[in-house]
Amino acid sequence: MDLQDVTATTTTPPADLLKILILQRRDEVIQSIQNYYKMSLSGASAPSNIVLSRVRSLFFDLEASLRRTKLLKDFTELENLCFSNDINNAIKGFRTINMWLDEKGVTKIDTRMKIDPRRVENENSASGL
Amino acid sequence: MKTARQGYNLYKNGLPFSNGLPENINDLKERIELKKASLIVIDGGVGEGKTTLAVQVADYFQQSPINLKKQLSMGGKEFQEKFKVCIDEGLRVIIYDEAGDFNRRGALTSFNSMLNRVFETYRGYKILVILALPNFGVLDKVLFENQIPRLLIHCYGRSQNYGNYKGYSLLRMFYLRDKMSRLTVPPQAYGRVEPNFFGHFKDLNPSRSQELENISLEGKKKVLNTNIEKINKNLFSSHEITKICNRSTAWLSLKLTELNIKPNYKQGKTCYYSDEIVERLKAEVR
Repeated sequence: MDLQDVTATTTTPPADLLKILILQRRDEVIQSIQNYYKMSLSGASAPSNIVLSRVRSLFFDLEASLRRTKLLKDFTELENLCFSNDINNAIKGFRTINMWLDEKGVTKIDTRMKIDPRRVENENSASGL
Repeated sequence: MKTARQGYNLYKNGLPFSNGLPENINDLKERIELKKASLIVIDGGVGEGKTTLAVQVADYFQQSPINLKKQLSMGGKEFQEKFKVCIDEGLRVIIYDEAGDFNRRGALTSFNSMLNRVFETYRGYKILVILALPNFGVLDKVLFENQIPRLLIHCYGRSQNYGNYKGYSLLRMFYLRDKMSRLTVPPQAYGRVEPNFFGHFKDLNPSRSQELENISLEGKKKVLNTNIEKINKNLFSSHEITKICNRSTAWLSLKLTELNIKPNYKQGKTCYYSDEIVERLKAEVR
């Protein structure tokens, strides 16, 4: 790359871009669930259509990966939950997807290696020594 | 498992040192099994118990009392000899107690190159080397870059009944070295880098302590005897003769060859000559 070329831009790899989109969609589901509970817990009648549609959208985003990595039985079960008209089932489906996302490292935040500082060899090898 | 406290010099874990150190020695054992070079450095001021702790660590590593005559070396020459003995007899640990070896000019350079050579050549023999010296800062940078020292144990504040130690990983040794190079009082660096673990150790049992003292005294006696012999026989070293004659070392060397003079006494590389020879050489000056 020509370092003098000021018009050059950096790009994000497609896989990373998709991850960002998935995280965004997941966040939208959480937002809609929050709004749903906010209304239902205050005693008002809360519409569930936003939650249901957003869970389905998230499922569409991940469908191919889910089909590839999950057992057929589990996948069908998850599909039924996500496409159910009962909001409790949809939330259950979303929670399963949530756990799967963590398992795949998309939402995993505790990635820091745990080392016991009292064992010098642990510390040495963790520092690449 | 019941661990009996046999005598006064053991902790509750049945060992002469507190918890923290045994786990780390076990980790090093695994490393040695993989034929990786491993060196434990024990440092601390004079009389802080470096040799005592080194013997205790070696005993624990070997799981039986080490043979002090074969596995404890005092000085570089002895170390090389005993290292060979350890290889021949399949002994797995050796202690190098510098015991003032570094007082000699140029000893450090040869010591560092010897250590490098030892680890490059002999790591396949799966021998743990324990090095006891007053300040680990004298060790060569190359040794650290080759990642040979794995554990530093700093001995300090020894009292009548026990001594204290702090353990540092190789990573923290790099920080210690850096701090030492910046401080006016280098030993203060130990207070500025947090140790990985710390604990206490007790004395060796009286019979072993006596054995260790005898070996240590034997080495010191040799040096003392040499000095006494030198004084009694009124001998002069080559360096002293050059001062007396006010001539260069090259001149002295030439004259000694010309006159076919052999030294009366030789210690290491230093030659000693009697006062009669000195008189002959003085005459050569005139």
